[in-house]
Amino acid sequence: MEKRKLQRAGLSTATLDPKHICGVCEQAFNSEDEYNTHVCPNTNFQPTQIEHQDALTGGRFSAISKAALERGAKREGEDEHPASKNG
Amino acid sequence: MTATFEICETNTVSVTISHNISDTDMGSADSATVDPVANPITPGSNSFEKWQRIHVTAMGGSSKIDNLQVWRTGALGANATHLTNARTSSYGGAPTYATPTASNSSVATQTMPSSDPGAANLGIGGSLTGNLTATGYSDYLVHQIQTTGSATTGTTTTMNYQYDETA
Repeated sequence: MEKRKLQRAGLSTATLDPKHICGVCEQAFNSEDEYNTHVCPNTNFQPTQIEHQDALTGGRFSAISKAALERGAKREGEDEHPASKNG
Repeated sequence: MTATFEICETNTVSVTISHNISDTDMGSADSATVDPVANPITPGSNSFEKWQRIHVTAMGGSSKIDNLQVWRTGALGANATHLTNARTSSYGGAPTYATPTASNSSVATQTMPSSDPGAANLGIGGSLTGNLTATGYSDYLVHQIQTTGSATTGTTTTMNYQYDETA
């Protein structure tokens, strides 16, 4: 059922429009896009910016990202140069 | 630049998504911020399920995110088990969100790993070999604490989330 029809019928539209809450500043948004583009007052950055995560983790997020990139690069290298099955 | 991540939790029948949660509170209420002291798990009962996802909010110039691995470190209180849908084999695909329940979960049915599983145990797009090449979500990580009548006071443990990133 369309949102408008639900509203006309006096039914909740909540299941069609999930509510998005910023777990940091607790602001509520009607869409994910609104959440992604808000500047969180607790960090002064948007959730899409790495500085946001760094502000929340005392800079550890950048280190986590670096480790993830290193694992990814290692796997890429293994895929390009697979170990010989014959030793 | 690198990708940006957060952990999100979905709750209630009205599908409320709490983004960037800082911890996972397991208790007798369905809320991302449940106070486990005010809402304890009665011995012999279960916590409400947790339905959580890894959310890539920006790719930051990277081309791929994959190999998601989830595990818990630290011991639970006595006579409690921590169950999940995360597994390295016989993965059940992407579970469709259902309102969290405190009954025995039909989705979280395998013991949560207590060390790095060494291989993907949470899928993307329903597959352990799936990947994200743009912003988006992992499959739901569903987990639940189940207790016996002899369960004792709960503990604080650490949830670990690991991913690989390709530049």
